[in-house]
Amino acid sequence: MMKTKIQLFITVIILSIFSMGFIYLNNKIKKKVAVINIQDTYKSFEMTKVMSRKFKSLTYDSTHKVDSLNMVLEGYGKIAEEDRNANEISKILHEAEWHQKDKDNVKYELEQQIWKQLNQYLIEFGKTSEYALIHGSMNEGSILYADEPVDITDDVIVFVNNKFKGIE
Amino acid sequence: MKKYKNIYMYSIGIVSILFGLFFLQSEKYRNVMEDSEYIKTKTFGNLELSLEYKSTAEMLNEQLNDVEDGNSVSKGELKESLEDYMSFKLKLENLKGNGMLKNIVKTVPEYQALIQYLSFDMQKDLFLCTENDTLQCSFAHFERNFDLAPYANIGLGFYRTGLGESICQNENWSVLLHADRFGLGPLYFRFDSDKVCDN
Repeated sequence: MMKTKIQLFITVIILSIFSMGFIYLNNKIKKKVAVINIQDTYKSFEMTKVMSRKFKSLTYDSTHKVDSLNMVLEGYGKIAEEDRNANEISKILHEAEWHQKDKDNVKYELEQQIWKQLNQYLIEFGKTSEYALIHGSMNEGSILYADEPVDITDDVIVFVNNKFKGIE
Repeated sequence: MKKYKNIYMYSIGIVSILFGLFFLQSEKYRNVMEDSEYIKTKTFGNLELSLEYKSTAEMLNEQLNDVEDGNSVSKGELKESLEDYMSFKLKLENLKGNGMLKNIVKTVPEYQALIQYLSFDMQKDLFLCTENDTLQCSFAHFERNFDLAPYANIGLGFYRTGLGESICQNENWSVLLHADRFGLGPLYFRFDSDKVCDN
Protein backbone atom coordinates (compact mmCIF):
# COMPACT_ATOMS: atom_id res chain seq x y z
CA MET A 1 0.00 0.00 0.00
CA MET A 2 2.79 2.33 1.07
CA LYS A 3 4.86 1.41 -1.98
CA THR A 4 1.96 2.16 -4.30
CA LYS A 5 1.55 5.58 -2.70
CA ILE A 6 5.24 6.38 -3.15
CA GLN A 7 5.16 5.23 -6.77
CA LEU A 8 2.08 7.34 -7.39
CA PHE A 9 3.75 10.32 -5.76
CA ILE A 10 6.88 9.93 -7.90
CA THR A 11 4.79 9.53 -11.03
CA VAL A 12 2.95 12.77 -10.25
CA ILE A 13 6.25 14.60 -9.68
CA ILE A 14 7.74 13.30 -12.92
CA LEU A 15 4.61 14.20 -14.86
CA SER A 16 4.56 17.72 -13.44
CA ILE A 17 8.26 18.16 -14.26
CA PHE A 18 7.66 17.02 -17.82
CA SER A 19 4.69 19.40 -18.13
CA MET A 20 6.80 22.27 -16.77
CA GLY A 21 9.53 21.35 -19.23
CA PHE A 22 7.02 21.26 -22.06
CA ILE A 23 5.63 24.70 -21.14
CA TYR A 24 9.15 26.10 -20.78
CA LEU A 25 10.28 24.74 -24.14
CA ASN A 26 7.06 25.78 -25.80
CA ASN A 27 7.62 29.34 -24.66
CA LYS A 28 11.26 29.15 -25.65
CA ILE A 29 10.57 27.98 -29.19
CA LYS A 30 9.75 31.07 -31.21
CA LYS A 31 7.04 30.62 -33.77
CA LYS A 32 5.58 33.96 -34.67
CA VAL A 33 6.47 36.27 -37.50
CA ALA A 34 6.39 40.03 -36.96
CA VAL A 35 6.71 43.08 -39.13
CA ILE A 36 8.20 46.45 -38.31
CA ASN A 37 8.08 49.59 -40.38
CA ILE A 38 11.72 50.56 -40.63
CA GLN A 39 11.03 54.09 -41.87
CA ASP A 40 8.75 54.88 -38.93
CA THR A 41 11.20 53.30 -36.51
CA TYR A 42 14.07 55.35 -37.93
CA LYS A 43 12.04 58.59 -37.82
CA SER A 44 10.82 58.01 -34.26
CA PHE A 45 14.20 56.92 -32.95
CA GLU A 46 15.39 59.54 -30.44
CA MET A 47 18.92 59.36 -31.76
CA THR A 48 17.72 60.42 -35.22
CA LYS A 49 16.33 63.62 -33.68
CA VAL A 50 19.54 64.23 -31.72
CA MET A 51 21.68 63.63 -34.80
CA SER A 52 19.45 65.84 -36.92
CA ARG A 53 20.13 68.74 -34.55
CA LYS A 54 23.83 67.86 -34.61
CA PHE A 55 23.81 67.84 -38.41
CA LYS A 56 22.27 71.31 -38.49
CA SER A 57 24.84 72.71 -36.08
CA LEU A 58 27.79 70.99 -37.82
CA THR A 59 26.77 72.13 -41.28
CA TYR A 60 25.50 75.59 -40.31
CA ASP A 61 28.40 77.37 -42.04
CA SER A 62 28.31 75.16 -45.14
CA THR A 63 24.55 75.61 -45.52
CA HIS A 64 24.84 79.39 -45.38
CA LYS A 65 27.79 79.35 -47.74
CA VAL A 66 25.91 77.22 -50.28
CA ASP A 67 22.84 79.48 -49.98
CA SER A 68 24.84 82.67 -50.55
CA LEU A 69 26.73 81.11 -53.48
CA ASN A 70 23.41 80.09 -55.04
CA MET A 71 22.18 83.66 -54.67
CA VAL A 72 25.31 84.93 -56.44
CA LEU A 73 24.68 82.41 -59.23
CA GLU A 74 21.07 83.56 -59.50
CA GLY A 75 22.38 87.09 -59.87
CA TYR A 76 24.60 85.96 -62.75
CA GLY A 77 21.50 84.50 -64.40
CA LYS A 78 20.07 88.01 -64.74
CA ILE A 79 23.16 89.36 -66.51
CA ALA A 80 23.49 89.11 -70.29
CA GLU A 81 25.48 86.03 -71.35
CA GLU A 82 28.34 87.98 -72.99
CA ASP A 83 28.89 89.99 -69.78
CA ARG A 84 29.27 86.91 -67.59
CA ASN A 85 32.67 85.94 -66.25
CA ALA A 86 32.92 82.20 -67.02
CA ASN A 87 35.89 81.69 -64.74
CA GLU A 88 34.16 83.35 -61.84
CA ILE A 89 31.01 81.24 -62.33
CA SER A 90 33.04 78.05 -62.54
CA LYS A 91 34.87 79.00 -59.34
CA ILE A 92 31.57 79.63 -57.52
CA LEU A 93 30.07 76.38 -58.79
CA HIS A 94 33.15 74.48 -57.66
CA GLU A 95 33.03 76.07 -54.21
CA ALA A 96 29.29 75.36 -53.84
CA GLU A 97 29.87 71.75 -54.88
CA TRP A 98 32.70 71.42 -52.36
CA HIS A 99 30.49 72.70 -49.51
CA GLN A 100 27.63 70.44 -50.60
CA LYS A 101 29.98 67.45 -50.63
CA ASP A 102 31.13 68.36 -47.14
CA LYS A 103 27.51 68.43 -45.97
CA ASP A 104 26.81 65.08 -47.63
CA ASN A 105 29.82 63.52 -45.93
CA VAL A 106 28.69 64.70 -42.51
CA LYS A 107 25.17 63.44 -43.23
CA TYR A 108 26.48 60.04 -44.33
CA GLU A 109 28.67 59.71 -41.25
CA LEU A 110 25.84 60.60 -38.85
CA GLU A 111 23.42 58.24 -40.64
CA GLN A 112 25.95 55.45 -40.31
CA GLN A 113 26.16 56.08 -36.56
CA ILE A 114 22.37 56.01 -36.27
CA TRP A 115 22.03 52.75 -38.24
CA LYS A 116 24.85 51.10 -36.32
CA GLN A 117 23.10 51.76 -33.01
CA LEU A 118 19.60 51.12 -34.30
CA ASN A 119 20.61 47.75 -35.82
CA GLN A 120 22.21 46.69 -32.56
CA TYR A 121 19.09 47.62 -30.58
CA LEU A 122 16.90 45.76 -33.10
CA ILE A 123 19.04 42.64 -32.66
CA GLU A 124 18.67 42.98 -28.89
CA PHE A 125 14.90 43.37 -29.30
CA GLY A 126 14.80 40.24 -31.48
CA LYS A 127 16.70 38.23 -28.90
CA THR A 128 14.37 39.18 -26.07
CA SER A 129 11.15 38.97 -28.09
CA GLU A 130 8.95 35.96 -28.79
CA TYR A 131 9.30 36.27 -32.54
CA ALA A 132 11.28 33.90 -34.70
CA LEU A 133 11.38 36.26 -37.66
CA ILE A 134 11.07 40.03 -37.73
CA HIS A 135 10.63 41.46 -41.17
CA GLY A 136 11.64 45.05 -41.87
CA SER A 137 9.01 46.60 -44.09
CA MET A 138 9.23 49.89 -46.01
CA ASN A 139 5.48 49.92 -46.87
CA GLU A 140 6.33 48.85 -50.42
CA GLY A 141 4.35 45.62 -50.44
CA SER A 142 7.42 43.43 -50.16
CA ILE A 143 5.45 40.85 -48.16
CA LEU A 144 3.16 38.97 -50.54
CA TYR A 145 1.64 36.70 -47.94
CA ALA A 146 2.16 36.09 -44.26
CA ASP A 147 0.11 34.03 -41.89
CA GLU A 148 -1.03 36.47 -39.20
CA PRO A 149 1.88 38.89 -39.28
CA VAL A 150 1.98 41.16 -36.26
CA ASP A 151 2.97 44.79 -36.64
CA ILE A 152 5.25 45.52 -33.68
CA THR A 153 6.59 48.89 -34.84
CA ASP A 154 5.28 50.73 -31.76
CA ASP A 155 6.82 48.21 -29.36
CA VAL A 156 10.11 48.38 -31.21
CA ILE A 157 10.13 52.21 -31.10
CA VAL A 158 9.63 52.16 -27.33
CA PHE A 159 12.34 49.51 -26.95
CA VAL A 160 14.99 51.24 -29.09
CA ASN A 161 14.32 54.63 -27.48
CA ASN A 162 14.67 53.13 -24.01
CA LYS A 163 17.88 51.45 -25.07
CA PHE A 164 19.19 54.73 -26.43
CA LYS A 165 18.39 56.55 -23.19
CA GLY A 166 20.05 53.76 -21.23
CA ILE A 167 16.81 52.56 -19.64
CA GLU A 168 17.02 48.79 -19.45
CA MET B 1 14.12 -5.95 -8.72
CA LYS B 2 11.42 -3.63 -7.33
CA LYS B 3 14.03 -2.03 -5.12
CA TYR B 4 16.14 -1.08 -8.17
CA LYS B 5 13.05 0.17 -9.92
CA ASN B 6 12.35 2.59 -7.05
CA ILE B 7 15.94 3.84 -7.01
CA TYR B 8 15.74 4.33 -10.74
CA MET B 9 12.50 6.31 -10.43
CA TYR B 10 13.93 8.46 -7.60
CA SER B 11 17.04 9.22 -9.65
CA ILE B 12 15.00 10.29 -12.66
CA GLY B 13 12.92 12.56 -10.40
CA ILE B 14 15.94 14.21 -8.77
CA VAL B 15 17.77 14.67 -12.08
CA SER B 16 14.67 16.23 -13.65
CA ILE B 17 14.27 18.68 -10.75
CA LEU B 18 17.94 19.68 -10.88
CA PHE B 19 17.77 20.04 -14.64
CA GLY B 20 14.75 22.36 -14.41
CA LEU B 21 16.29 24.43 -11.61
CA PHE B 22 19.55 24.74 -13.54
CA PHE B 23 17.81 26.20 -16.58
CA LEU B 24 15.70 28.62 -14.60
CA GLN B 25 18.48 29.76 -12.30
CA SER B 26 21.26 30.01 -14.87
CA GLU B 27 19.24 32.37 -17.03
CA LYS B 28 18.36 34.53 -14.04
CA TYR B 29 22.00 34.58 -12.92
CA ARG B 30 23.28 35.51 -16.37
CA ASN B 31 20.83 38.42 -16.60
CA VAL B 32 21.92 39.75 -13.22
CA MET B 33 25.62 39.48 -14.00
CA GLU B 34 25.42 40.98 -17.47
CA ASP B 35 24.02 44.28 -16.29
CA SER B 36 24.26 44.94 -12.59
CA GLU B 37 23.37 48.15 -10.78
CA TYR B 38 26.98 49.25 -10.78
CA ILE B 39 28.09 48.13 -14.24
CA LYS B 40 26.27 49.22 -17.37
CA THR B 41 27.27 47.55 -20.61
CA LYS B 42 26.66 48.29 -24.26
CA THR B 43 27.79 46.06 -27.12
CA PHE B 44 28.12 47.05 -30.76
CA GLY B 45 29.55 44.30 -32.95
CA ASN B 46 32.92 43.36 -31.48
CA LEU B 47 33.15 46.44 -29.30
CA GLU B 48 31.87 46.29 -25.76
CA LEU B 49 31.73 49.43 -23.65
CA SER B 50 31.10 49.04 -19.96
CA LEU B 51 30.93 51.71 -17.31
CA GLU B 52 31.44 50.75 -13.68
CA TYR B 53 30.56 53.00 -10.78
CA LYS B 54 33.28 53.07 -8.13
CA SER B 55 32.29 53.97 -4.61
CA THR B 56 34.61 56.10 -2.45
CA ALA B 57 35.42 53.06 -0.30
CA GLU B 58 36.40 51.06 -3.36
CA MET B 59 38.54 53.89 -4.72
CA LEU B 60 40.21 54.36 -1.34
CA ASN B 61 41.00 50.67 -1.16
CA GLU B 62 42.45 50.68 -4.68
CA GLN B 63 44.58 53.75 -4.02
CA LEU B 64 45.95 52.34 -0.77
CA ASN B 65 46.80 49.08 -2.49
CA ASP B 66 48.73 50.98 -5.15
CA VAL B 67 50.87 52.77 -2.56
CA GLU B 68 53.81 50.68 -1.35
CA ASP B 69 53.72 52.00 2.20
CA GLY B 70 50.06 52.44 2.97
CA ASN B 71 50.80 53.78 6.46
CA SER B 72 52.56 56.88 5.12
CA VAL B 73 49.33 58.10 3.51
CA SER B 74 46.77 60.02 5.50
CA LYS B 75 43.66 57.94 4.91
CA GLY B 76 41.39 60.70 6.17
CA GLU B 77 42.75 63.26 3.71
CA LEU B 78 42.70 60.77 0.86
CA LYS B 79 39.11 59.83 1.66
CA GLU B 80 38.09 63.48 1.76
CA SER B 81 39.69 64.20 -1.58
CA LEU B 82 38.07 61.13 -3.13
CA GLU B 83 34.68 62.09 -1.76
CA ASP B 84 34.78 65.22 -3.90
CA TYR B 85 34.41 63.10 -7.03
CA MET B 86 32.06 60.53 -8.45
CA SER B 87 34.36 57.91 -9.92
CA PHE B 88 33.84 55.44 -12.73
CA LYS B 89 35.84 52.99 -14.76
CA LEU B 90 35.13 52.91 -18.47
CA LYS B 91 36.25 49.69 -20.11
CA LEU B 92 36.46 49.34 -23.87
CA GLU B 93 36.82 45.72 -24.90
CA ASN B 94 37.40 43.97 -28.18
CA LEU B 95 35.28 40.82 -27.97
CA LYS B 96 37.32 39.19 -30.73
CA GLY B 97 40.14 38.94 -28.22
CA ASN B 98 42.99 40.72 -30.02
CA GLY B 99 44.36 44.15 -29.14
CA MET B 100 41.68 46.72 -28.44
CA LEU B 101 43.00 49.82 -30.22
CA LYS B 102 44.37 48.03 -33.30
CA ASN B 103 40.87 46.71 -33.84
CA ILE B 104 39.64 50.27 -34.36
CA VAL B 105 42.52 51.79 -36.35
CA LYS B 106 44.67 50.50 -39.21
CA THR B 107 47.70 52.78 -39.57
CA VAL B 108 50.36 54.01 -37.12
CA PRO B 109 49.33 57.71 -37.36
CA GLU B 110 45.71 56.69 -36.66
CA TYR B 111 46.91 54.65 -33.68
CA GLN B 112 48.87 57.64 -32.34
CA ALA B 113 45.84 59.87 -32.84
CA LEU B 114 43.65 57.41 -30.94
CA ILE B 115 46.15 57.29 -28.05
CA GLN B 116 46.17 61.08 -28.03
CA TYR B 117 42.37 61.10 -27.97
CA LEU B 118 42.06 58.57 -25.15
CA SER B 119 44.76 60.31 -23.09
CA PHE B 120 43.70 63.92 -23.46
CA ASP B 121 40.62 64.59 -25.56
CA MET B 122 38.14 61.93 -24.50
CA GLN B 123 37.36 63.91 -21.35
CA LYS B 124 35.63 66.52 -23.52
CA ASP B 125 33.22 63.86 -24.81
CA LEU B 126 32.07 62.71 -21.37
CA PHE B 127 29.23 64.25 -19.38
CA LEU B 128 27.16 63.48 -16.34
CA CYS B 129 23.52 64.29 -17.09
CA THR B 130 20.62 64.74 -14.73
CA GLU B 131 17.15 65.92 -15.70
CA ASN B 132 18.06 69.61 -15.54
CA ASP B 133 21.80 69.76 -15.56
CA THR B 134 24.87 68.56 -17.41
CA LEU B 135 28.35 68.37 -15.96
CA GLN B 136 31.52 67.86 -17.93
CA CYS B 137 33.99 65.18 -16.91
CA SER B 138 36.57 66.55 -14.47
CA PHE B 139 39.30 64.07 -15.28
CA ALA B 140 39.89 60.98 -17.40
CA HIS B 141 42.90 58.79 -16.89
CA PHE B 142 43.75 56.36 -19.67
CA GLU B 143 45.57 53.30 -18.33
CA ARG B 144 48.06 52.35 -21.01
CA ASN B 145 48.65 48.68 -21.64
CA PHE B 146 50.29 49.12 -25.05
CA ASP B 147 47.45 47.18 -26.64
CA LEU B 148 48.68 43.92 -25.19
CA ALA B 149 45.29 43.26 -23.64
CA PRO B 150 41.99 43.11 -25.56
CA TYR B 151 40.67 45.99 -23.48
CA ALA B 152 41.45 49.57 -22.53
CA ASN B 153 40.53 51.07 -19.16
CA ILE B 154 39.84 54.72 -18.52
CA GLY B 155 39.29 56.06 -15.02
CA LEU B 156 36.76 58.90 -14.89
CA GLY B 157 35.88 61.47 -12.25
CA PHE B 158 33.08 64.03 -12.02
CA TYR B 159 33.43 66.84 -9.50
CA ARG B 160 30.48 66.43 -7.12
CA THR B 161 30.06 70.07 -6.19
CA GLY B 162 29.52 70.85 -9.86
CA LEU B 163 26.03 69.46 -9.46
CA GLY B 164 25.58 70.35 -5.80
CA GLU B 165 23.67 67.71 -3.93
CA SER B 166 21.11 67.39 -6.69
CA ILE B 167 22.70 64.31 -8.16
CA CYS B 168 21.38 62.01 -5.46
CA GLN B 169 17.98 63.68 -5.42
CA ASN B 170 17.42 62.77 -9.06
CA GLU B 171 15.80 59.41 -9.58
CA ASN B 172 17.99 58.65 -12.53
CA TRP B 173 21.07 60.13 -14.01
CA SER B 174 23.31 59.10 -16.84
CA VAL B 175 26.86 59.29 -17.94
CA LEU B 176 26.92 60.38 -21.55
CA LEU B 177 29.72 59.45 -23.91
CA HIS B 178 29.83 60.96 -27.38
CA ALA B 179 31.37 57.91 -29.03
CA ASP B 180 31.93 59.39 -32.51
CA ARG B 181 35.54 58.27 -32.35
CA PHE B 182 34.30 54.66 -32.28
CA GLY B 183 31.83 55.12 -35.12
CA LEU B 184 28.90 55.50 -32.75
CA GLY B 185 26.70 58.34 -31.58
CA PRO B 186 25.80 59.44 -28.05
CA LEU B 187 25.69 56.60 -25.52
CA TYR B 188 23.82 56.97 -22.24
CA PHE B 189 24.82 54.81 -19.27
CA ARG B 190 21.93 55.24 -16.87
CA PHE B 191 22.29 54.60 -13.15
CA ASP B 192 19.71 54.38 -10.41
CA SER B 193 20.54 56.88 -7.64
CA ASP B 194 18.97 54.68 -4.95
CA LYS B 195 21.56 52.05 -5.62
CA VAL B 196 24.57 54.12 -6.55
CA CYS B 197 24.45 57.30 -4.45
CA ASP B 198 25.38 55.54 -1.23
CA ASN B 199 28.89 56.99 -1.40
